[in-house]
Amino acid sequence: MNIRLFRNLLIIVSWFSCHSLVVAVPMAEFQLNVRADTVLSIDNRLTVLSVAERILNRDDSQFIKLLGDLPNPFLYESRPAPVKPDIEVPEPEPEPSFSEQEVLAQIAATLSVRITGSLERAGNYFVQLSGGELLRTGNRLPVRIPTLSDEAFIIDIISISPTGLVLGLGESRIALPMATGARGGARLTPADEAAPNRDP
Amino acid sequence: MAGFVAILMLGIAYVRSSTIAEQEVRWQSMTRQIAVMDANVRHAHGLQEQVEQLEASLQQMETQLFDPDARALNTNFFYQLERDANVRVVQARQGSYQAGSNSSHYASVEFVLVVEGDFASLLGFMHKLHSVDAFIAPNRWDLQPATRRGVDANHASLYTLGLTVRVLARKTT
Repeated sequence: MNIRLFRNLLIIVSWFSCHSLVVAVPMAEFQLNVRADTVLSIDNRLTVLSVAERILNRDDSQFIKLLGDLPNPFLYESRPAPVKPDIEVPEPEPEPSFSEQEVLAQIAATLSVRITGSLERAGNYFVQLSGGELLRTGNRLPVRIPTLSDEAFIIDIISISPTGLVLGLGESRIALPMATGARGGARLTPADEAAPNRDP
Repeated sequence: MAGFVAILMLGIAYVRSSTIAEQEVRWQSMTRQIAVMDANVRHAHGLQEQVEQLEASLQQMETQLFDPDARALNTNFFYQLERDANVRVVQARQGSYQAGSNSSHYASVEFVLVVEGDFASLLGFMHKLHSVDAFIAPNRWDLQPATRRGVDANHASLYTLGLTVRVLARKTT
């Protein structure tokens, strides 16, 4: 029985001696590899008990005092500052600034080219863009313009009528008449919805 | 007559030869047992008291083991060390549980700690981990200057200590 107890203690001692940074328990002091019917020598038992005492009383206030204002012995390599090239890179020209109304005018000019026709269904008007996309009142479109390539604008379709549509950007509005070159238009009544007229 | 006696003696010796070998082995075994018993008697002085003392120590150690299932209490244990060590525990996270071998009475639980403080305080925190009741063994650690804009790393007073420790724990069923 006593051997089992001593071995339990040995497990805890080995835990510390393998990992502890501050106090290492000397494993060589332990001579537990004996026959089961053999009583450990008195010296061995005293060693085990003294180690148990050390394990249970590990606080050492002197160590904290030793720390004081101990400086950090480790040096850290500072990241080298990036080397500036000798060649002067010309600063990019600042992009022109436009008012909302000017931006809206440019968007309207771009959009008008894409309009291929208009459509009315049950009193609701739609504008068809090249590619088949239909716009209706209340739609919001993300748009970029070539002169401000880094910035995207969200425009609102304020209203659509047979004669044109009104675009909005923020508080600005612009009326975009239906281009005379628009290639078609259609009016669908509720009765026609089952068989829409695809070729006006 | 003498020849007869000689033949008789040889016969007896032949018949008893195996018994003699057995008795010699037994005698050697008994001699060893007597030596062990003599040694045990010599070493028995104070044995009972020392066994009781050791049992008490082990019982005390048992009370200092972590419970792997008490995760909130376990992590709070590390946060409570902040004040004594004058550091800031940025993170204390319970990690893997290792049951240990079948013959071992103990398991272990891993914890990942991130602690911020000056160098001496961080060493004090490490010492605190060593000296608290729980059995805590540092496993891996790294130290780097705490991120502060415009402060040279070698002159920074605050450091971040990343630390992985294993804590001796009870075995869960």
